[in-house]
Amino acid sequence: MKNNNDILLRMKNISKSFGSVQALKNVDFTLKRGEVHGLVGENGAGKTTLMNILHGIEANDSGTIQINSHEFKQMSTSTAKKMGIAVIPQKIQLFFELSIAENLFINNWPINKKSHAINWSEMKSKTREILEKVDLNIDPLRKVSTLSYIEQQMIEIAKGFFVEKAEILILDEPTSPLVIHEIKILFNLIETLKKKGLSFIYISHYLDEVFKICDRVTVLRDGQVVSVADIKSIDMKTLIKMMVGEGINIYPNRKSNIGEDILEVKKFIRKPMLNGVNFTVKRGEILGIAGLKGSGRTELARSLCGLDRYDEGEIVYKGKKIKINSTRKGLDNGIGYLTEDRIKWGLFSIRSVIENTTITFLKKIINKAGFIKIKEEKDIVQSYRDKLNIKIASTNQQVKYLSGGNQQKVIIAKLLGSDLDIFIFDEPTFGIDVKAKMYIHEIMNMLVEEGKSIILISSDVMELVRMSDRIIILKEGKIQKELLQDSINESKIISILEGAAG
Amino acid sequence: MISSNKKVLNDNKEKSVLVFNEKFDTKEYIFENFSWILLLLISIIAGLINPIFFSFTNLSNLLLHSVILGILVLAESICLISGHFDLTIESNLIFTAVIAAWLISSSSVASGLQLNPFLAIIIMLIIGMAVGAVNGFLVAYVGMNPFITTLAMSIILSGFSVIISKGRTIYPLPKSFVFLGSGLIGKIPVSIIVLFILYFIFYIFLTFLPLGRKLYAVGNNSFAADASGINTKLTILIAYILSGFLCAFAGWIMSGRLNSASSIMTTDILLFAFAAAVIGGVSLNGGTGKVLGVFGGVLLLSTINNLMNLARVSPFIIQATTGGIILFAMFINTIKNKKLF
Repeated sequence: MKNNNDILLRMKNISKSFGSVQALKNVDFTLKRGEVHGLVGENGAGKTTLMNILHGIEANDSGTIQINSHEFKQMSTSTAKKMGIAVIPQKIQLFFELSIAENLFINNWPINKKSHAINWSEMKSKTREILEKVDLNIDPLRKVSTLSYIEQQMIEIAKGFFVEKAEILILDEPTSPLVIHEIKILFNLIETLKKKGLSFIYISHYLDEVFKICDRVTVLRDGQVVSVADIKSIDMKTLIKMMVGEGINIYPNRKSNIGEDILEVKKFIRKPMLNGVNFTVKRGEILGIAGLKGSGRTELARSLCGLDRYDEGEIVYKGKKIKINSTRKGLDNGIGYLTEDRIKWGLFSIRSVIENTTITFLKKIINKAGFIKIKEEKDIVQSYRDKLNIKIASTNQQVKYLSGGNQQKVIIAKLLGSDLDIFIFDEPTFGIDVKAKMYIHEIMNMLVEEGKSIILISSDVMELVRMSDRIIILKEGKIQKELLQDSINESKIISILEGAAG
Repeated sequence: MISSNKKVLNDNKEKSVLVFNEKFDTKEYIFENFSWILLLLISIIAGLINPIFFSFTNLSNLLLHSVILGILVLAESICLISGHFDLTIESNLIFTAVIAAWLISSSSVASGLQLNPFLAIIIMLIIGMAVGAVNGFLVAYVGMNPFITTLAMSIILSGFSVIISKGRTIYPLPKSFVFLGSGLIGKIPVSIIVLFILYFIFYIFLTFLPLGRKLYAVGNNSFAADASGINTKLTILIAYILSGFLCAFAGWIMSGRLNSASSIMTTDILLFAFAAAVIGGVSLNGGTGKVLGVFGGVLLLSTINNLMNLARVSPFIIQATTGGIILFAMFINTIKNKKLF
């Protein structure tokens, strides 16, 4: 930490367009030595493009990149490497079947001068030295596949800084697969390395993390820099406003229309993730479930809809005790699940919009002989297309060609057709853009105004706060606290979640 | 224009997708009907070179030789659409045919039971389905790898076929049994009519029945199928049972045509069945494939074979050429998936 204000990287006036689409417009970005710099913005704001330009995957149309005293018009991947820029991608890119030592020195083996063979003892001792620098005390010869995710991530970081001698590390959503105590380990490591004068560019959807670990933050919106700020000088609300813009209200208002209890879940147990959860859902209500990853929130949802089995517990639905042991049972009873991972659990990517939509309620559109009424099927899908404003060229289009927001709407249409009373929405707006977010929220409002109920699970605390009538906070498979509408506020939830962390 | 993989700003995303798709449709159309387009071209050239090609006798002959392959391709395609391999199709055909012949033939190699042919037909169809059920159970419920499971199963069946037939050819078979395979209605072989009926039934099944839809869904994404209220395991089991039924049916026709059954009554059909399915647009990854396309694939392979027979080409060259066609079809299929153009 020689000189804290020393500017290491300066990207100036960067512009980039793809065809007629301007992805970046005169973007300036600076990174100081020994700094963790957050890069935030909605999907499509240009974060990824900017980072791709920085490490040479994409070429900027104009602007310059200055690293130390070198100035470049464009980067190539090899210059980026030479100039000390490394990327830790979302997906670990190590050789899982090789040892840590081999991974670190791949293509750069220490060679025994006499025999020209790999000098294993040197490699081992060098690896041990490097592992020490990131506070890892493991055998250099252990296979990477036997390590936990955080350990693999730390090895990627070690490789970037101490083998490839990078000075700038780009972390792209590093915490998404981590559980809470692993995040702490990662943050501690970042703090330590920062003090040694190494710099990070930190991309994350989780804004609370940005506040915790970053020194400064650059906010991008629609390919332009909205603001560069010291993290201490702003708060969460301001940051969100900067990201989203004033024009769009992504949390539209709704008329509250809450009725009687429709679902009661008692002593719900699924080992080891759920240890006795009790709650009720009312007609016309959005019940938010807050909880960190690993709190059991997704397991709760999956067991409720029949995708997973639960060990014990009682589900009382419309006054009747029911047992849900398959998704068919769940859907027939009127409980459906919008999954967290829509590509894996939601979509039939190479089938048409029609087939994707009606697959859950085919038996409602067959004639007496058991054949699907093709015309009626098409009309039904068309009506959902209008109702949900799904933007497609035709209902015969394969769903893989739709944007994230429209794919999400197709999955919602699939649930609507099953005449559900209870919709479990798990991260419904994850990875979709602002406008689509607004649409999804409008749809949710429409549903509850029609008297349906929604169980909303979200990592986005703001979304929970603004959309829910009631919030339960889940921690280690138990309900930690229940917040009613007038007592719901963001900082309270965050502090309870934080408490859960400690 | 914006190319598909470089859409960045979301506001423009939807628009660009639409543009992309309208352009894509014609190509998609050509790819989807690839087998028929190629068939048409080859037939026209064949007709010009040798007018005998379009004679009734030749066309009838061509179709007759498509029957067994055609039914087995259907059996394979059902499994492939649901995302699974079935390597037992040919050995299941032989196994069921040998059992039926053993039950009904007056040959000294046979059981001597000389069972009622109709009873034997029911037994062979049930056995075919049972083989499929075992495959389906092991693959879907136990979770065994379909490739290895059905390969092992096929070796077992081949072994039993030799044991039961004592390595000999079982003949003759009763008239009522062989009618389906060698009978004529007017001038048209019964088995050709049966082939068309089967294809029609499976077209209806895959297009208009919920179960058909579920097969595609399971084959495309079994996780999403699970989440959509589909009993994934049962669907796969049914696919294998249907496949087994079709194999036994083909066994009935084949033994009828030959008026006999033996452990080597067909050879190499398995790989041709895969080839015809793939040429016809069935993906080895599951989730796609249409009955009409599959039929085109079958006719294409039969036509090539037929043409070279007409031209008195050596059988070995025919085999090599067929291999070339299969490779070409796979090439086109792969290019299509990678969207190189």
